[in-house]
Order: sequence, then C-alpha cells, then structure tokens
Amino acid sequence: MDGTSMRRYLAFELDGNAYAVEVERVEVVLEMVPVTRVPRAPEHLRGVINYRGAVIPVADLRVRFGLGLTDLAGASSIVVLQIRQGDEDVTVGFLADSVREVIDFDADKIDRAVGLGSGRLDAMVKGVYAYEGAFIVVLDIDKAFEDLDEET
Amino acid sequence: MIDKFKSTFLEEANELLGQLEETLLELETMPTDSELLNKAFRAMHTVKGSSSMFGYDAVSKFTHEVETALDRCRNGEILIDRIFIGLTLRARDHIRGLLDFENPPEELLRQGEAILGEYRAWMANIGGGKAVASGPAPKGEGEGSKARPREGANSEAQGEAEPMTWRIMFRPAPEIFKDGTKVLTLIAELVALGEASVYPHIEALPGLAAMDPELCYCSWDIILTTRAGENALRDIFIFVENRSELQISRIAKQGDEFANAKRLGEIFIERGLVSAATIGSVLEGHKRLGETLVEQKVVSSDEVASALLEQEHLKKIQERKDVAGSIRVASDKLDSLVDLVGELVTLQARLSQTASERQDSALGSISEQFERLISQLRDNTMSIRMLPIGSTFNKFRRVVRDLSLELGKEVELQTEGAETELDKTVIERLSDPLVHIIRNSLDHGIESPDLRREKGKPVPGVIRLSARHSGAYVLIQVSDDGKGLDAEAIRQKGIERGLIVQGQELSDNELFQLIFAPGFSTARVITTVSGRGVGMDVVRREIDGLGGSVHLESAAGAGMTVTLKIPLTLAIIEGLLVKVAGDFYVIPLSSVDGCIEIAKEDLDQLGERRIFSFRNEFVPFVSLRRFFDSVGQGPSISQIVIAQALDSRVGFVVDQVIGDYQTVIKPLGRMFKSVEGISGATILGDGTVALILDVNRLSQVVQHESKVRTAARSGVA
Repeated sequence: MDGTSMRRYLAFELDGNAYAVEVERVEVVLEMVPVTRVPRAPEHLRGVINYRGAVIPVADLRVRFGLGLTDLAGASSIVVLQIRQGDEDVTVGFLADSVREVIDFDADKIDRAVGLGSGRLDAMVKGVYAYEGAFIVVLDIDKAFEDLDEET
Repeated sequence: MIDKFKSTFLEEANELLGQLEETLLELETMPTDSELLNKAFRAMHTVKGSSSMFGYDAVSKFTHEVETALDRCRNGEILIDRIFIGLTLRARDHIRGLLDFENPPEELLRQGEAILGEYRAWMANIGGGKAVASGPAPKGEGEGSKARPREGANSEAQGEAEPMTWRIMFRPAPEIFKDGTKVLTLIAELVALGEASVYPHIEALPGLAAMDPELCYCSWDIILTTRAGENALRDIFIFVENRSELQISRIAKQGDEFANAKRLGEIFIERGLVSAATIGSVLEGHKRLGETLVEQKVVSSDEVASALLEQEHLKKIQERKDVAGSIRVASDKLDSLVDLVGELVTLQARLSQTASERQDSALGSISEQFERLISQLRDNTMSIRMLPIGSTFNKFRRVVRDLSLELGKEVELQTEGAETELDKTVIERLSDPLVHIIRNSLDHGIESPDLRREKGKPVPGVIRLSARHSGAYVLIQVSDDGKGLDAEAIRQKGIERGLIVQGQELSDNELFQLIFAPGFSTARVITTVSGRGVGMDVVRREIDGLGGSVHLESAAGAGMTVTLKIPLTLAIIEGLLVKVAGDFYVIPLSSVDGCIEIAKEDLDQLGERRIFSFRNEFVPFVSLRRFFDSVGQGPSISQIVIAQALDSRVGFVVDQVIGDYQTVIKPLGRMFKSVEGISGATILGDGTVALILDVNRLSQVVQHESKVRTAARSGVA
C-alpha cells in the first residue's frame, strides 16, 4: 500500500529531448492552433490563444531553456495547464514538438542531484528520471513560467 | 433554507449600517435635525430586532445599549455633539465587525464593552442634557431649529415634485418664421424637460410647387412627462404665445390609476376632437375605434396617430412605474449573465462570418436579426450592472471625517454627480484609488487651519468629488483648494531619484507625472497617512488596469485637480477592427475620430516627421507595423485611424480597416503586464484572438518618442 510517492507524468518532446510535467496540472493537450502574437511581449511568450472562451498565454519553453525560438509551423501541440503565480492559479499553454505518453513513476526516484548546465535551467527542473534506458527531465512547471524580470 | 435567510439578513444589515453611517455624518453637520436622528434610530432599531431573530445575540445586546443612548437624544434629553457622533460611528463599525461572527471572540466583546463604557461616561458628563451642542460643527450650527426643515430638504422637495404628464398642443402662426423664431428649438427645449413623445402634424403641408418656404405649415402635439410645473412649460412659449395657438393641459400625474386605462376615445374627447356621443355610437360597432372614426371622417388619420402616440406614452410611463420596485439579485448571477452574453456576441460574430462566406442570404437575414437582438440584449445586460457611483461616496465622507480629525484640519467634502452610473466592477475597483487620492489631497494639499488663515483662505478646506459622463467614459475629479503641487520640490525629488536629469526642460504637466512613479514622495515628514511614496503609483496602476487614465492639474497656492477617465464598462465595447501585417487589432470606437487613406509614397515621405494634418490640426502618428516590429512591407495604400487620446489626437497607420466590431473584452493576464499599448484581447468570429489597443498609453509613447526625436534633431542643429 505504499503508493504515495507514485505519480503520473505527461511526457513530451522538445528538440529530441524528453521532458515531463505532473499530469494533475495538465488540463488538455490541444492540436496546434493559430497563435496571436502580442507585440512587445517578453520573448518567451509567443502570444495568446482562445481556450474555451478565455484568452491564455502560450509560452515557448525552448526560449526559457536557451535553445532559440520554436518554429510555430513545426510545433505539433499546445499543452494547457494550471500554474501557480504568486497567489493565483493561472491557465497557460506551452508549445511541444510532440506529446509522447502518460507514465507512472515514483517521485522519490527522481534524481535531484544531476545538474543540467546553467543555473537558470536547473531552477526550472525538479530532477531527472531514468526511464527505459533514457533520461526524462522532470520540470518544476511553476518556476518555468516565472517572470524573468522577477527573478533578477 | 435558514442559511439563505441568514445571508439576506446579513446583506440587509450591511445596507442598514451603510445608511446609518451616511445619516450620522449628515447629522454631524445638522445636529438638530430630528428627522435625521429618527432615521438613525430606525436603522439601529431594525438591526437590533433582526439580529436577535437570527441569533446574533451579541449584536442585539450591544445595539440595544446604543439605541438607548440614541433614544435619549431623540427625546431631547441630550443634545448631540461631535463626541456622540464619533462614538456612534465607532459603535456602527463594531456592529459591522460583530456580524462576521456567530460567536464573537472575547476580544471583540471587550471592545464593545469599552465603547458602551464611553457612552455611559458621556451621558453622565452631559448629565441630563442642559449642555449646548459643542464642538465646531462645520455648518448648520444653531440655525436649524427643530421647527424648520433644513434648507437642503426644502429645495430638494421642489426638485423632487411628482412627475406629471402634460399634453401640449402647439399650433404656431404660419408667419412665425418671419420674426426669427426657431420652432424646433422651442420643441427641443420642451423635450429636454423630461420624457417626451412628439407628434408632428404635417398634413397641411402643400405640394412643393405650392409651398412658401417662409411659412410654417406644421403643428405639433407633445406628450411630456416631467417634474417641471406648468409655468416652466409656458415660459418656453412666452415669446410666441400671442401669435400661436397653445394648449397645455395635464393628462395624468404619475401614479394616477387612469393613466394606463386611458382609452383612445377618452383621449379624443379630452382633446375636444370628438363628442362623447359620437364615441358611444361608434363603439357600438366592432371595428377599431380609430379606423371607424377615420372612415366616418370625424377625425383625420393624423389625429388618430397622434392620439395613439399619447396612449403609448402613458402606457410606457405607467409600466416604468409598475416595475420601479426592484428585486435583489446576487451579483455573481449577473456576472455569469454577462459572460453568457459575451459568448453569444462571439458566437454571433461566427454566425455572421459563416453567412457571408457562404453567401447564403437566408442565413444572412437570420444572422442580421440575431445581431439586432443580441445587441439589445447586450445593452440591457450592461445597464443592469450599472450602479450609481454615489454608493461609494459615503465611504469617502467617512475617510475625510476621520482623517481630518486625525490631522487637525478642517475639511469639507463636497460631492456632485452621485447619480452617475458605472459598471459595478469598475465602481468596486475605483474605490481604493479614490481613497488614495482623497487622502493625498487632505494630507498634502489642504493646509493647516493656521496657515489657511494666514493666507486669507477660508479656514475649512474643501475637497470636491465629482463624477460625470463623457461619451463612453466617466470623468471623475477630485479637486481641493489647498496649496497645489510644488513643481520645484518635485523637480528636486525627481533629480534625486534619477528620474530626470539636472537642467532637463519639462513642462509642469510632465513634472507632475513624476508623482506617479513608484516610490516617489515629496512629503518631508512621513505621516501614517501618506508620504511613504506608495499611493499615487498604485493609483496609476489601478486606473491603467481599468483601461482608464489619470490627469493632473495644479495651480500653486490654489489647489489641484486629479481627473480619472474611466470607461463605462469593462465587459463589452464597440470597436473598430483593423489589420496590421496579417494580425487583427481592435481600436475602441469611442475614441476613433476618423480614418484617412494614405499612399505608401506619401507615408514614406512623411516618415521622418511622423506628423500629418487632420482637420487643420497637426497630429502625430505612429506606424503600427513599425511600433509592433512587424516583418514585411506595408500595402501600397494604408489607412490612418485618428483617435482621441486623453488630451490629444494621435494617428495609427494600419494596413486595412475592416469595420465595426462588437468587442467582448478579455483580460490578457498578468504574464503580459509589462506589455505597453495593449489593454486586452477579444475573440474573433473564427475563434482566433485579436488584441485591443490602449489608445491613451500608445499616445503617450508616441508623444514621448516624437519629443525625443525633436530633442535629438535640435541637438544636432
């Protein structure tokens, strides 16, 4: 009966690497829809979309990871999820090259010691999980959306 | 079920306490007005009764004691003074606090005991009431004896006369134009007095060939419901009465039972067009009265139409009266209604787009009817959410009272335009910024009594709070007669804070804008009230968030005025849909002045100066393509949309103007809070998102940039 640390994660791909976010935070995975650009917005916010009658921001995690801009024509999906910002829950979407699967694994087995390089990236990551001979980077999704200005 | 009653009780109790506060504050200025005292007593009494019914024993027990004190004042045993008002206001706040708990904590109960103790001490002190109303009551002191109603009430009573409905039959003399009388002005004046239905008789108008343009062939029947008296109506016609035929008669007082029962026949008889006997005989038949009378040539069809209009008018007035009573609706129900209407509007946009794409005329006509209905539904829903801003004025009165005591200043708050209506959410969000501004005026603006005396100003300072409509906006002004802003102190502080540099040329207005910068404060002494540099930047942020803008005016030594320009509603607006580099944007239609076409060559030529002439005025403009860093080239012919910002015009160069668009405003969310020039977003018919331009903010950026350019050029020269 010791299933308390087992969690479900949604795995997705960016630039050939696998990432995961907790499923309970995910509302829906949308097929790519036209994204309206918001001029003069921070670079990692690619624009806004209409999600069930509300206007929600679409973020580009590639930019956050320092990997350049995602080609909007090439992205396949927008993952919509709830994040916590300050004391508010905010619905946001992010671009994914492809969404792989939902996997269950033990949150205790996430290796938190592995450094991934830059300090900024490390702050957005909970750790790395070894899965079927490859690594999945488990994101701390609240941190990944934090405003860059507020960090400094 | 019990819970439901309980929440109704709490709602009503809060309302009563609100009333009580208002009454007490009025009572403070007119301590001898027995009607006000009765009103306060009644409110207190009702709270006591209903709270004991719902088991709020602490409230009823406390209220009972306060009521006793009020009762002694009411019986004339004790005269009301400032201490008493202060105590009762505190008691009111205490009751308000008690209502939050079914079983209030000890601490709170002890506070209540303390207040009651003060009451007892006060009553013992005054001892049986031989004392005179003490304390510097700002006005109305002494003059208002019990027998005389207060002046305000008197003049109000005149203005508040029961509305009556009048029939004005005006048959001008044919030569009336010859002495320069403008008949339409007379009618417009009449219409302005109230709610009017006007019927013009034009049957006497001859064919064009036979017409003498200098003669008046028309006459008018006007049905007017107004509070103005007969004399006011006659005054309008005072210069034409002798040459024209004028009949003014009262048809109904609002509330007359006959008003809605009035039949066409009665109207004809009253107007003296048909005898009662004829009506009787006609009514024997089964046709409609009007038609029969026309057939029998007793009256003309024109007369029938006019009488029908009167009937319609009365019906409308009566209906309005019938529903004048109101119902209480939980505000979240209203919010969800607005959301639903918003979705309908969005869906309608899709329907009309589909209809036009398919070129299906049947679908198109359904869509058009749908659109008409939805826009009515929208207007109605919005009007339900409108509340008079006066509901928040009380809160400010209290702020001014408490703060002026604390600071040892004498300040009177005057209000105007309390009836101005605004969206409920806007009113709620306006409250904090207004408190900030008023505190600021009181603390920094109004001088101490000594200083005012020295400067020869009347000792009590005045803060004026006014609200009025201006197009799709409401202008709210807070002005004081204090010392005004100290431009030099602001300049120094600005340099100190690194906001401006030494020797920088700034207009006073630009200098004043600095006080909205975060952390800016020129107060040398930090008080508990203001001076910590929070406040004005919060005001700016809140008002920006409402899609409004803040404007400052100040005259050294004479006071300052803060003007807030706030959109009427946050939910749905009329917009102008435009296209820039493949993206759609909405410009609020209320601020659009016009559009002009401009060829690419002309635009390129103007490029450097970015100023063009519109209606004999030089208007700065900005290319949205450039401003938004869009890729690609503009079309060969662009459009400039000219918009009215807070204090100037500004032009926006767009690729294409699509047309009117009913815009349901959706917030962009906090992640975009750093984005300038965009105030929100809306969903288009095809489900994609368009952004809404923030005209005021864009105009500020454009003006700033054009100044920088001018400065750079003059620097080079």
